[in-house]
Amino acid sequence: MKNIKGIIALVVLIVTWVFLFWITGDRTPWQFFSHKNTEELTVYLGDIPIQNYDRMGFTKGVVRYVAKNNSWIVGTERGELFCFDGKGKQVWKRSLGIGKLVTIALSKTEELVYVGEQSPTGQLFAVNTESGDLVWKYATKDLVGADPGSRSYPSVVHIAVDNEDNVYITAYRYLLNKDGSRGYNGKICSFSKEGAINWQFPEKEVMDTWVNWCDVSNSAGEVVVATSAYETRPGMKYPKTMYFLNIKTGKLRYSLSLPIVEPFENTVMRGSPNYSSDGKYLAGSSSDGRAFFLNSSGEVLWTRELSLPQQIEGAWLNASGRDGFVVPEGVIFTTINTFNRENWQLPTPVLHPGNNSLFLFDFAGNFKYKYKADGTMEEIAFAKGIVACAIGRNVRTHDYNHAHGAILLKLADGSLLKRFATEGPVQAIDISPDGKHIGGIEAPAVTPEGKVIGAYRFHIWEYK
Amino acid sequence: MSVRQLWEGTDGDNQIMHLDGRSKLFFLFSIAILAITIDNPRTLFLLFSGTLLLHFFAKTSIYKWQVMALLLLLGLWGSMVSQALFFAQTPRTPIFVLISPTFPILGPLTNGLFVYQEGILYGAIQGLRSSIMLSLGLLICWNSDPRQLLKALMAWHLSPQVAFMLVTALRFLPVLASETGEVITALRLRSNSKIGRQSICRHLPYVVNPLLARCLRRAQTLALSVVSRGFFLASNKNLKTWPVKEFTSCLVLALVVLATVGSKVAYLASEQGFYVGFLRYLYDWTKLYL
Amino acid sequence: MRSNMLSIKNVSYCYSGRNIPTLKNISIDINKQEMILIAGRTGCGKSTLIKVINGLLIGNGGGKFSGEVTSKGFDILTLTPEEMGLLVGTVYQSPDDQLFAMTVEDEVGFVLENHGIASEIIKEEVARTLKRVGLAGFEKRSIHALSGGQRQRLALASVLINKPQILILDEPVSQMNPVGVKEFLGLLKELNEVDGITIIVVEHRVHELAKYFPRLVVMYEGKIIYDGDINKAWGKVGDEIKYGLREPQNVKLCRKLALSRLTNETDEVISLIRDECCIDTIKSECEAKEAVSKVVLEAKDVCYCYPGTKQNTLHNVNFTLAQGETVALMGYNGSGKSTLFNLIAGLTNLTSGELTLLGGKVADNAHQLGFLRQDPDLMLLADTVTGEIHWHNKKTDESQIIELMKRLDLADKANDFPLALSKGQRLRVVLAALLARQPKLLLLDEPTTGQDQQSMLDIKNIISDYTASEGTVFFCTHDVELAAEIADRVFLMVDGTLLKTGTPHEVLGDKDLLLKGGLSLPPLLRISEGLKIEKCVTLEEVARHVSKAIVGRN
Repeated sequence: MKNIKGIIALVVLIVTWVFLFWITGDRTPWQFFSHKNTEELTVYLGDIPIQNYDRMGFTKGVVRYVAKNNSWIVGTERGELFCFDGKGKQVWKRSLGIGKLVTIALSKTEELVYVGEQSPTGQLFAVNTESGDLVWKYATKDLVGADPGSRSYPSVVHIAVDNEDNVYITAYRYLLNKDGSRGYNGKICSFSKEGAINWQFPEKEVMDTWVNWCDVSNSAGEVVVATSAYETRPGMKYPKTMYFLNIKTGKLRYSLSLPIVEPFENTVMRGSPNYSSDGKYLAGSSSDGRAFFLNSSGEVLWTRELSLPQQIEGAWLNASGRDGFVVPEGVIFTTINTFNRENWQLPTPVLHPGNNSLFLFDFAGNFKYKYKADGTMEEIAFAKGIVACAIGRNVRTHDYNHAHGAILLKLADGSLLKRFATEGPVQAIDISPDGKHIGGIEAPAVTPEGKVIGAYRFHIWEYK
Repeated sequence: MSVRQLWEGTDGDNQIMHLDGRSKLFFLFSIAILAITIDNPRTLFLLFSGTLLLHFFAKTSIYKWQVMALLLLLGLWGSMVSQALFFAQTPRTPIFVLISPTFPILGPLTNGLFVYQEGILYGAIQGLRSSIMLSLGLLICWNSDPRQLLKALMAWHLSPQVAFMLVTALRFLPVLASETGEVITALRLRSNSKIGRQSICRHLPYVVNPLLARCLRRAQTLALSVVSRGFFLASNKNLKTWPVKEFTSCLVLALVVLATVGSKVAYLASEQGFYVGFLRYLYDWTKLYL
Repeated sequence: MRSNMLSIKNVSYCYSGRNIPTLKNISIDINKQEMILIAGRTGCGKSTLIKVINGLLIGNGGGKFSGEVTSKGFDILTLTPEEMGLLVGTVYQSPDDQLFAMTVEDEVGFVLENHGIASEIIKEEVARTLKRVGLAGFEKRSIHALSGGQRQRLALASVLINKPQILILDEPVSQMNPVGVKEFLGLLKELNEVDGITIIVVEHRVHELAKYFPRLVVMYEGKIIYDGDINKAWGKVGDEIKYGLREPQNVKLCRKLALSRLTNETDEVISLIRDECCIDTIKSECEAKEAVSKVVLEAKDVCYCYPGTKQNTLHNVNFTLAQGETVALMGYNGSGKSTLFNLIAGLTNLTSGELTLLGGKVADNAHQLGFLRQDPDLMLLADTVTGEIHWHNKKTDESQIIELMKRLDLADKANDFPLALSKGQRLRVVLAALLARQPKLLLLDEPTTGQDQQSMLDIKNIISDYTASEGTVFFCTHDVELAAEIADRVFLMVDGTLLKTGTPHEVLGDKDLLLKGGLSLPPLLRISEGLKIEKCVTLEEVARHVSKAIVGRN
């Protein structure tokens, strides 16, 4: 009996050895348990605090596709910048600090990637896409201040890159002073490819408004900056909606205030406008749900109402506009969630019919189609004839099971080409120019019921 | 083979037996550092397989293999099962549901009991670490004269008292094992219980006292014996020189260990922001293999 | 006149934490080439005296020391332990506790290595020393592969190689069988006579060692109460139980017959008896023990073979034990005695044959026997003596336990930690624990090993009481005198078979059997031969043939 027991021990050891060989290798047994789509690769991005699903400021991430070597640059809330190859294998990873990476842009040659963070120093980084080396960096605290007494970290809010790889950033800081007064510090700064400052706007002061977006056009020779101050104050020096600057000097060419609609006090643009590729046109949408199509002189050619604010049961509801893009097929605008104008976080009795939608108009302003998603379109990216949309949360319907994921729409007619479902909301997306490779960042969330859905991971989808 | 023989060094005439004590200890320390440093499961597995191979070279008896198998299996499966069930890090992918969260009473109490994919692998990694050290430790124990190791420790200027303590433990393991067997027999006789695992487990707390008393008396006698035989006079003057081949091999091993630790440190530093582009291939290699 | 080696003058020592000194004004001179036997009860200070002699007392434990220890006028207390080791070599009781290396040559060469001697010289010296102690050719042997006797020789060799002038041995033969004792003492004698080494042995087995040691030192409560010619000791301290001396049988016989002299010399005893007593050569009839019909243990063709071996350790063993009997199982080491006991206790299973305990299977009735194993220390499990007796034995009446403790002289130790008691007390605690369960059969494996005279008497009384209350005792021993005194029957085991079973008179009176069984010849046998009376193995048997002839003599 003892002999048998001894032999059994040896046999079990051998079996264990084989088992260990199997699970420690590349060909693991996990595929037996996986129901995942084989078109998808997933890479875990690390632990982050899991936010409440309904939270206003939610988990973010940034991603860009590098066509020259079929790789993905991913920036996370942990301040880490990754480079993954097309198979999801990490090429390099570097930690850029303790800040959240909130914006990203590739240089035209794709040699450098520019990443902006929100942190005590609000750095802008220029990183070599191949080696991951830090080429240069700049602390925007020098532009917008960083004293902790006034709360809120400085941040590089948006980055645009011109044809010569000059970089244009909007640096911004929200101030809540000890006396309760609020303020904004904004600045636009231009850097050369080597990291030298070309110009700043304003040169000697900060803009006392919320600046959230900028775009650049070499053809138009200008940079457009959009402001997002929902409330204006008497004596505000920079109350207008858009400012147009000389691309070379940063001098103000002209500024533009867009008409206000009830019940808003100001016209605010959070995620637009953007130039057309030839620089002749601009498309942008405002938070009050209007879409604007302008020429490069700042003249509004036409305006459309994507979501007209409605008053229901005493509360003004609207679906906020965000994107505006000029594509060969026409002009694209998007709306996000339905909001209560009095308090963004209060629930709304109904969903605005125009919320969470993508609209296409022709250049004359004729409506072509609208595609309504189940959740917020957190980001859209374009490939040849395709638009990829990151579908995030729907804080009104709380549709956890069906809403989240990434969708591919045919630009010509808005038809759904492909849907990639995820457990958690997708917060960022990019697509390869040929439309075959899509990368999206999924975020985890805690539902109001206390369940954790999703994880902080990067998905690579293939579209054939 | 008795319990005592199990814990005795072999009379075997194998290469490992003849190695200098310093080589053996150095090897043990180096592998320990590697086992701690390396996180890659396949590399740890290879290291573990290497230690088992050494047992083959040392012609470890079947009985000792069986005992070692038992100890290794306990460590490996204990680690894997516990982590599979209670893995708390993210991500964690459930592959089996043992208790569904909706199961009456237990479900809400436990929030569900799952077997996690990442937990199995994590448990395997931890289990492999301890198994590497157990396997190698047994190899050294079964193929060393304690005095070899004592000489090695003293050559490295370890305090004679500490060195003596370390090797005395080795020397008296067989005696302790034999006495433990005696105590368990005595327990069985006095409690009229049939011999078996249950009986042994139940009576384990009683084993300590007689063994401890015996150890104390023994320690006193041994101490008197070795002191009077000039133990503290032992000088390094007459210690054999470290054989050149073994010294060279240890040096190479030291370099490997340093390189491994260095790579890991560089990789971890890169994660914390100390990233250097030209070390990218090192980072890749470290991530893949270490 | 031998020159003085070591002089201990007015030495007193009190261990730290104690109030009563362990050594009280000890003075002793040790001369060159002497053979000294130090005896005394457990706890009398013998071990402490050894530490004074080998210089390991000072600095060890931080007690209070006073007095002088000199060697040729030089104060040896100033010497380091290593320097003392060159003068005095010490061999301790249990070889397992002092052997440190894995191989014989490493162990023997250890001391020379520590002194920085060159390895070639060490090799030569090791070979020479091993030859000296009868272990020539054992250099590469593992220590674990040596027998107990060989390990004791190895321990001796490990200090001998240092060429000490004084050799101290602390109870070196307490674990040995008589043949082993004879060989070992022969070796010591040779070392003394040929190499001129002063030998000091501390032992309880005075009766066996007396013939080798001309000088006896007896200690009691930290003092030396006798130091002189061993032959003169008997008249002065021999019969005092409190001193813990076990007199040789010859001396006991002299005392019993009230001879004019107490001597251990057999020829002298014969001569004295012839001169002073009346000898009756007629055969007397032994008192036969009342037959008891109930069989407690029966073995039929019992065979046992250890796993992995081909040869049987026990072959066709047949015997019965009746209720109320005391039976001694004797034989040399390795004859199968412990194996038989393990079978009876149910620790191992028979290979073939039948073993019936109390009318049923061993497995079913093993709970009705008590088994005192060879190392009783390892059977002590509880934190107090009372706890030990109660361990897994809650049903025994409290009054019975108190009575038992009184009989075993443990009443004042009820709350003491058993493992901290003296050796004799520890054995009695285990016995008490076994007896408290009121077993039907008591198995005792070498119950008197290492026990002083008082402890031996206690054990004899316990056995006697136990059998009187219809218990059966089956005990293993090498002690022929003990077996002759208390056993109803003796089983002689040789090579796994029972060579002879019978009364002590039948078995122990047969010289050939004793030699075959590896037992020492009882001195009374030779005296019987010398007196031309029938063979006697006990004092009572001799006394039946020899009477005190001279009126008025005690």
